[in-house]
Amino acid sequence: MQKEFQSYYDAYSREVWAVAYGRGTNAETANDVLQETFLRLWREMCKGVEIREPRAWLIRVARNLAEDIARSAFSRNGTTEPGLMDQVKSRTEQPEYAVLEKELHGQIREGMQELTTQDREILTMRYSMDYEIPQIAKALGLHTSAVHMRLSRARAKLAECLNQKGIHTAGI
Amino acid sequence: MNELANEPLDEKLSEFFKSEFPKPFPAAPRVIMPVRMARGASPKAARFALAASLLILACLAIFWPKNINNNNSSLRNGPASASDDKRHQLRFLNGKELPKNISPTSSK
Repeated sequence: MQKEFQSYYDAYSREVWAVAYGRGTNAETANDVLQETFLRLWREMCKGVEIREPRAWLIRVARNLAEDIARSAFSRNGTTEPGLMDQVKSRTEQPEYAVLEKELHGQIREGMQELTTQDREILTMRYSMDYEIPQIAKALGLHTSAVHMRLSRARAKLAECLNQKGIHTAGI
Repeated sequence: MNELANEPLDEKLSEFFKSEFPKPFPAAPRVIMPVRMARGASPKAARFALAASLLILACLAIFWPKNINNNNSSLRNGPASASDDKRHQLRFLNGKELPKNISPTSSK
């Protein structure tokens, strides 16, 4: 049973992480969600529950967990999680390039908040895992044309957000 | 303006998401096989054993002989003493058949 569990982790953990990240836009929270999701899977396996589609099950659990965390963080802080704004401006002295990169990433992260959660999931799978459109469609249970449309729309919207912040992008 | 801003969007996004992606990727959570499972008895087998036990009990309740109480009542209606019990009367004494109305004690 442990081997089966490990095989599920090897096959689906990255997708679960991407989904969790897409919901909360926070890497640390996504790591927590990833661990908790697979612990829940293990508990179900120990109970003898047969999970017919582990990929869909894992993604559903990860989405719900990430939603709960995001909701509780919002109710606690009133706005988005404090960690979200940490990288907009750094007070520590760092090489100029790293500072600029961090600033840009902070702007992208802010822009991501303007997108829907599903668009964020798609962007995460596309750019963090280099998934092609059919792979994203399979993982998220969507039609390829829907993924294509959402990906284009999300990129355009993100580019617009960055343009408004004075960051001009090319290649859209 | 940010000097990195002029890079194509795809490149920026790729850099951003790759920087967010954990490196190294976290290992699977450590899980321990429950003792019950480690012994090899699956929950399905346990449920099957329970169901079979209940079925056997039900069968016994239905098909158990019902004249056991009658046997007890015949014991209650038995002879008052051992001498009255004809099952213990001897038919032969010293190789000779005894008359039916004579008991070995009365012959002495």
